[in-house]
Amino acid sequence: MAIARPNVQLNILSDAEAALVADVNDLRDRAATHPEAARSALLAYLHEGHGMYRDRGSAAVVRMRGWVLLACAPVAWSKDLERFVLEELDNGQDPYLTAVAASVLRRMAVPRMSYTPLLQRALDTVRWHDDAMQLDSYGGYVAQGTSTTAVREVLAALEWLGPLAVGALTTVQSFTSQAAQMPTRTRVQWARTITALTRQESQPAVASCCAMPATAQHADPPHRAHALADCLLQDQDGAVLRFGDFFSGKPSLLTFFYTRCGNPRKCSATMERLAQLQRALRAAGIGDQVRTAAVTYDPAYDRPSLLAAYATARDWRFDADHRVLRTVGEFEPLQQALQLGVNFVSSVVNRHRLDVLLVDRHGAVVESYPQVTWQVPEMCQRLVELAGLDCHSSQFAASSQGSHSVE
Amino acid sequence: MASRKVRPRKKVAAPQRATKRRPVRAVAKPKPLSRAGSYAVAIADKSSVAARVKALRGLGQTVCQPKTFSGVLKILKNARQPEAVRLAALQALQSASFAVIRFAQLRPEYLATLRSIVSDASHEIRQRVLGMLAREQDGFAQQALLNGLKDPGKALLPPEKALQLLSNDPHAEAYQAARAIAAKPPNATARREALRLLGSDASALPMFEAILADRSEPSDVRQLSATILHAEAPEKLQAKARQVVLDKSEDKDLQATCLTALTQFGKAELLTADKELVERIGQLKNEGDANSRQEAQRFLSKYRR
Repeated sequence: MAIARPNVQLNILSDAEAALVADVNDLRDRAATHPEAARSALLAYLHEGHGMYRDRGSAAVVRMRGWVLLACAPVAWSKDLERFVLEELDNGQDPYLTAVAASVLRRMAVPRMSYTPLLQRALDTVRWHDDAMQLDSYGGYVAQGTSTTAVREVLAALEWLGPLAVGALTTVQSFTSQAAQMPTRTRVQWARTITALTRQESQPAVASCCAMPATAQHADPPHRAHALADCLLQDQDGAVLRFGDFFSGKPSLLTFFYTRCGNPRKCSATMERLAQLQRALRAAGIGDQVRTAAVTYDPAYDRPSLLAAYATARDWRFDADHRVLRTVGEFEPLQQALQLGVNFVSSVVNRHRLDVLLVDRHGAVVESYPQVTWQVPEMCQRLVELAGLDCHSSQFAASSQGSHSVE
Repeated sequence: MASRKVRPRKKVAAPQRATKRRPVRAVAKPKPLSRAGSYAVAIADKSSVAARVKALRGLGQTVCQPKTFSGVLKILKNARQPEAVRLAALQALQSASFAVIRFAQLRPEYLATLRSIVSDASHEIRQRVLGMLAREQDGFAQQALLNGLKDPGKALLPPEKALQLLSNDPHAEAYQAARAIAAKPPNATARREALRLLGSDASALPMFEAILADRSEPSDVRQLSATILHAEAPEKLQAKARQVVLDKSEDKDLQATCLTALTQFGKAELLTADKELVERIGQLKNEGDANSRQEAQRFLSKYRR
């Protein structure tokens, strides 16, 4: 059945989004007079678990988060805000949010060399699926012409870093083969970025240029997650166990994923990285002295057979101490007790962050590593310290590499 | 061994050489257009529609050249161009977009153009464009489709098509709208598409169990429910499938579907020990329709001891 041409203006704002836009705009306006209140309210909106994202589709969540990030411009740059911005560059995959993050970073932060690898990753992510957008309109959708693109925004952020981003020069230069097809404004930005990166300047001494270290948030006091002790879990073989039984007796690393995740930089990469960590622990002879587990956000869909297949495809080797798990019943108690950054549209995940927790031998969550990609040797070292063993991170660096590499 | 008679070879006369070559008449077959020629024909309003469509189809990857790209995009955007030509332009752009690396720099303008024509006067163009954007899981297209499901006055496509396109993204915000349509469908196809979409939502499983058990539901909808249960909760389907097969008055097509599920995915130790079920399937092998007989035979050869 063909229907007649509808004579309507497309409105992408649902009621929930319109409410958020009104509130965020108000907070932005109040930032000048009440900076602290505006800052904390805006940051609260960026937490993935915020009720505003409940039952919204992933695309709506992207629009909402983009608008909140852009509204943060008048508030002061802070470590909290930095984490949300860097998270998008590190493991985001939506061109609009990547562009917003690059734009906010450039407008608010002080240039640091440590931003370079994250912008480089962002450029790698968006270069093959770039999009046109207009950052000053909600959702950023452009129907006529192109105001900016994600690639252009990331290139502009690299230009802003100047010689501090010289580590990204090869990636930027690799666009040469596409230069003939570049729209004029992208070509101009690209040329300016190369000029800025190769500018001769005395570079300030800055620490690492190779990776953005995941920052630990220490649980103080250690969070015992008592409410979860009796929470039932099922592993990849169908065996049922209590949360309190698995996460006690030995220190553990606990992370989260789901098999329907469409972002290769998140769940799939997390599971591959965890397999590397398990290999490193076994190679160091301490595979049976610590535990690792990945729990799915999507227990109704991720049956044991799916969990096993997904993890096996990412090089996992299961044993009593290293398992893939799902909750028996609802996931919400785990989400609440562990303050996980995840939300849902109906029963399907609509947005989640990277969450890694370290649990000590008494079952207390002692550290969490939210948002930014973690490194295998450092995490092995922390587990070894928690287990009171005598190993050094250099032992783990080589042994973590296996047949599959994460990137 | 019989000897073979060897026949003397016949003398073959040498072919006579032609003294004069006959002039070869040129066959009136048009030379294929060069890519540049194709482009010239494609953009020329004076060319026939058929010639322009053919020319656009012949452009291939030259669409990735900026000048050609702009020209083809212009045809697509221009509502005064013939629909067939615009559709050919759309197809040429879509084909070019598959060359991800060559197309990368053109992609932003391509997507922006697609968004600009989602409410085009041509139903065919609207449907194809929304389909392309939906497969990209584009938020703009998703919202346009959702608006139409919530308010039919704003619908760009019929509800069944909108639901089908929205189901490209299990993370889309379509579950609530799909539930409303499943409960109060404008037509049978829309209901089926709504149910298909809800198949991604584990919280809808009780509804599919209820539909499968409800004999007043159409057979195809019950079969769809069986398929969804098999994908998301196979143990639940196994239990229901047993009941359906045992019930002599059940729908024959559904029985065949359930029998297949039991045969292919059932637990051998349970099925071989289930005398009542094996006996009933033995009856189906002799009494059922052709489809059921075939499935029953498969089951029995696998599980009957």
